Amino acid sequence: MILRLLSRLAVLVASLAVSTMVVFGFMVVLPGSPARVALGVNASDASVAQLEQEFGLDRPKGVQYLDWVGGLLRFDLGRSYVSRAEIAPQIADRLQVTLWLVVTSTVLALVIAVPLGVLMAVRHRRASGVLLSALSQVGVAVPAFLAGVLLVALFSVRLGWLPANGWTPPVEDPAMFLEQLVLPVLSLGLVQGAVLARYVRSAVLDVMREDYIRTARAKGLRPMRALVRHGLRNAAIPVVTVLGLQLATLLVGAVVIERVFVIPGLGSGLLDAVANRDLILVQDIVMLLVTAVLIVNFVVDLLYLVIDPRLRSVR
Amino acid sequence: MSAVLKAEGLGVHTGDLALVQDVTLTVGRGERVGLIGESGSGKSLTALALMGLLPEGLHATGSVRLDGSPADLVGADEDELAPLRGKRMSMVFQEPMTALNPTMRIGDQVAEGMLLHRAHRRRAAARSAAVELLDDVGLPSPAEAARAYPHQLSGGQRQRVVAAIALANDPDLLICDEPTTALDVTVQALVLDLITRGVAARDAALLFITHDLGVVATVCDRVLVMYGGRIVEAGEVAQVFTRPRHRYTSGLLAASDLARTDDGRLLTIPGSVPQAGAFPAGCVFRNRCAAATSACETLPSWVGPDPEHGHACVHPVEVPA
Repeated sequence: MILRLLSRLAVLVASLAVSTMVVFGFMVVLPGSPARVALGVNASDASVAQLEQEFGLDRPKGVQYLDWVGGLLRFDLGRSYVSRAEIAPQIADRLQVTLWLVVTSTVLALVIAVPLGVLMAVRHRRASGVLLSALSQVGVAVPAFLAGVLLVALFSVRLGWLPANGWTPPVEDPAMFLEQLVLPVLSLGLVQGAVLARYVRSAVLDVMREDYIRTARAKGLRPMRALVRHGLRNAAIPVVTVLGLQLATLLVGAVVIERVFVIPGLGSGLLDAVANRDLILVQDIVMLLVTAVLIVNFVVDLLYLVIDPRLRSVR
Repeated sequence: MSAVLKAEGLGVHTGDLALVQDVTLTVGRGERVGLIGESGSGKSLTALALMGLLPEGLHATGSVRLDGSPADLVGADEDELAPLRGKRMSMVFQEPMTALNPTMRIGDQVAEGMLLHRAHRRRAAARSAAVELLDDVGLPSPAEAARAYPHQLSGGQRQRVVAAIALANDPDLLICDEPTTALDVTVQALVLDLITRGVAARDAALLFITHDLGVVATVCDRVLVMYGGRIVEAGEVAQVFTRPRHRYTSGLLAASDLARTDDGRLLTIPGSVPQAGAFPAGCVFRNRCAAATSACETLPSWVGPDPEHGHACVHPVEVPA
């Protein structure tokens, strides 16, 4: 068990190390110097040279790489080539925004998907199950941004219950924060929940046909109780996989919703950085996203070990 | 001898298709009855129908009564059936590798049935009773086994656990569906022994399903031969195995006799078991039977003193006087 944990941890660290090289490498192979990119084609050679010197871009690439990675380890992400502001605090703010969005919508998705998926599976031969299944199919087909626009049209424009867009940090005004959080979280969570519910349904359907459920019934457990006590944990394995993938996609994918609701999240930050040709900011945000995805995968791996004892034994 | 289980005219259907028809059987207290036949003859469906555990899309007809329960179990709802399952009647399944929940400790799976039927109200008491039961069924180091997960045990050990679960509440009726088929021959005898001992200790009724005639001969007092979803012959094991009357039974016996060969080739029953629903009308065996005549096109009636003794064959094997 400990060995498994350590090996997974080693894989995480190794993947992170490789990622830094890949992300840095991409910036290196881009044509032109980052300073030239930041200043634009019309900038004079002198001003480009000055910027390069200011940010140490004239040093050998190896030195720059080590400098960057060393900074990452100290949470020092460097300064923007464009605004010259420290990057770490900006990204931290944006990361917080995205985490609020992603985590709450994932929780919402789970709360919707687990009961709904189980219900769809248990009633898959009855009209109610088929109807729910069809509804969730619609949910899968609707893109999150469309859901967002529709929710805004209904709750903000027509009913005037909730703000149509904007973002207030929770420490500044918790009430406003919550009001502004509802619609974006609904648009992400409902769609994500519909997708997840499909997976919960098929996982539960598979488990319902397992012999051990029949054994549980033969013990005297009623069908629903047999499913809950013996089925859900086994059904959780494929669901956790999908959940991990969804979380990883959402970290970047929330950008569309961030745009619809004018929310300063990480995805928007990345788009802005690209638009401003601020390569170091792009590099830092990409690295952060890669790290987040790797950590999500690591946690998914750990969850497998928690759920399935068969994976714990070292062979 | 009072009948613990009494099934009359039991059938299993999917839509209009009859998979099992007109099965009538009784098992008395302390009695061990075998149900034999090839794969696809409807043995397992009969067992599941008795337990009320038919898969979705299949339904039972006829009547099944358990001694002491007023209700007919066919058509009974979960509220009536669930308290009986695992308490008054229980079942050992064919496939020990998949019959246990891979994510739950063995001890908890054994204790669960006892807690459910209130044999023990406290979890700790049920746990220690589970360890005792695991010891009873012959698991080495039962306390350790109780903490283990199914994948840490061998097939034979898992089947002992399944048997322990089935015997946990001292049932009146134990149904075993090919409990040793998936096991190594060396382990088979041990598991059979533990089942017969477990049943004898509880004076329970045993319905033992298998296609292995040797197993029936060692375990059972009486036997029912099933083919095409119907009981074609029934009687005392000694009687049926030495003087079979139905042509299918004699074919089955000839095929299991490794000493009898036809020019060095083992004897077989010609043809194979048809698909469900593709059995001929009349005698279900007539398309594989050498003795079949046009008289077999109508369903042969039961010849015998009672449903537990007799056969359904128009041209029975002559009994040497």
